Amino acid sequence: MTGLVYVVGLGNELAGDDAAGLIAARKLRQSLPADVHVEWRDKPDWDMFERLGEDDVLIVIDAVMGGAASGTIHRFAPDDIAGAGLRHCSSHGLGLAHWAALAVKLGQPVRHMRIFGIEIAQAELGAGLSAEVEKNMPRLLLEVENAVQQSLAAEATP
Amino acid sequence: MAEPRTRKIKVDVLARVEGEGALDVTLAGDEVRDVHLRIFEPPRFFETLLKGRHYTEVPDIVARICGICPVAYQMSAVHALESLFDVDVGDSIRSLRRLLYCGEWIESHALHVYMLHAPDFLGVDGALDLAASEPEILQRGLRLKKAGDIILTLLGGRAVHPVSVCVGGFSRVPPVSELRTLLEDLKWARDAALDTVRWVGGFDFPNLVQDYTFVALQSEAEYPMNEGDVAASNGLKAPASLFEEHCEEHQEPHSTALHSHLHGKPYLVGPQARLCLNHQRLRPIVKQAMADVGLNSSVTNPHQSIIVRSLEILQAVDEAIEIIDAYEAPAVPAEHVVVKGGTGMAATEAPRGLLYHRYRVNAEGLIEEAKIVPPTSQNQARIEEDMRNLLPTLLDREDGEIAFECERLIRCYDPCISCATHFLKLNIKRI
Repeated sequence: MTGLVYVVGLGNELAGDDAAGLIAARKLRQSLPADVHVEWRDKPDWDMFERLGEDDVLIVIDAVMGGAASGTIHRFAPDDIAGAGLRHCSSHGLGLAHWAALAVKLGQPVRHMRIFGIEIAQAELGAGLSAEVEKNMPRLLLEVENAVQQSLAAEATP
Repeated sequence: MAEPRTRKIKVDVLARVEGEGALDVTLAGDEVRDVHLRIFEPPRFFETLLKGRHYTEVPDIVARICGICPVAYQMSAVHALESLFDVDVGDSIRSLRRLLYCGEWIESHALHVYMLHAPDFLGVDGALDLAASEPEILQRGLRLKKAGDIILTLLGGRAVHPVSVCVGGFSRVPPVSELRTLLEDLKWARDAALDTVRWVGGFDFPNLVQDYTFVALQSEAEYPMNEGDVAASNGLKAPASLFEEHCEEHQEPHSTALHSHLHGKPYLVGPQARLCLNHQRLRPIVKQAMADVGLNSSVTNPHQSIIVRSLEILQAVDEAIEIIDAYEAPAVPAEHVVVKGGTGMAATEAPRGLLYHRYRVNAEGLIEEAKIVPPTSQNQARIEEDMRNLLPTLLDREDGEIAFECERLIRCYDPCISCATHFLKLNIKRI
């Protein structure tokens, strides 16, 4: 049985493909059931994790620069990203991986957290989404919708 | 005579500094030949972006300059434009703006004290290690930060890049009942801030004394945030509108960010400067906490800036409670603005120090020219000077240790380098 379902899109809408997560969340707000908490933010923060109850589901959508082809969709669990390179954190650079790592260390309930990333082509100021990210956006939305529906189905199971 | 050996040490990223830049150090034997803090500023991107925009767009655009101190950019902008348009926002709006600024000081300082700076004194590599070794301490820091965030969320509409600030006031002001919902968290935060001062006051501080010229706003009535003259520890006192006559910016070849000098010399803005020039106006609870940890008002050891930041958290929390207790909603959320052409200037105190804005506006309310002088750019020359003083004491150390000590010193200034730059790497060259 699941608790609340949160869908959070991250991104800077002024910075090209970096806005992908934010735009995806806005679109999902139209298609997901009203009891799913959909929101979009410029950057992650601790409150995303602090509010989680034991059975809550957190689905995060963010832009990724991982060296794959632009438009590639990545799927992560928190343990996948809460690792490498975290010494070099700053408050501007306190990204999703840092907060997720802190959540794990401080015992926040993130076992139902899933991260969907889309590989970006550029993050240029004022550029808008690239063709590759635009093309793969429907697939990203579908994957997130499926994940949400699975969570809701689990919720309905006694 | 043989040529001195040459070594070049490169540290990829300067850790736990807000944003990124680069520091190049050249050592020739026992002599520090060059220290260059390179700040790759997006060439005044926002100043250019603002040209041709309507003045009403300015607060929301400048908020995007920094995710940690957006309120500071909004405040300096609206004060500059209101000074041009002769707008008097009245006491109630003024108090709400001060409350909003308190929120930013609390969240920004708490983030720096707990997650960026304290690890240097605790022998851990960063906040993640602190979460493992002292989770209760880090939880306290996160909750303290949240006490600032909830003020920003309530007054500004959201914690990052608030959207309610406008020229003349706010787009919306809360009723008394809404503001009072913050009190419980803020009263907890006041105790936590006191505990924070005691905690950091007990740290072991490296012995490093600098000869600072401090620059901060100075107000007769209050510890400075939104108002006051520009004052300096060399005796300067001038209206903020004359800031550019005293603090001159110039280009250095190694950096795209402008360096600032006060009458030709580096200076320091930020918590230490505010404390030195305004300690008489600290709240009683802060004065007592300061006395309890044995801190003087002239803090010349940069490592002790963590105590000053903690004192300012306490100052901001205690004042936020007082503002909420006394709050009466204004008759209108924003004063009427009559546009006129001309130039308006203002400075306010960002968490990292004095932030100056100047706008030239035409009769239609369009921005013709914008000038923004962020605190980190002003401190850049001072940080370089500190490095020149620090490095001779480190010459017998391994390069990695030297690099760490340089990073550590830079972190003392909480440079919001993203306000002025993108990448920071540390390179030490011995010739």
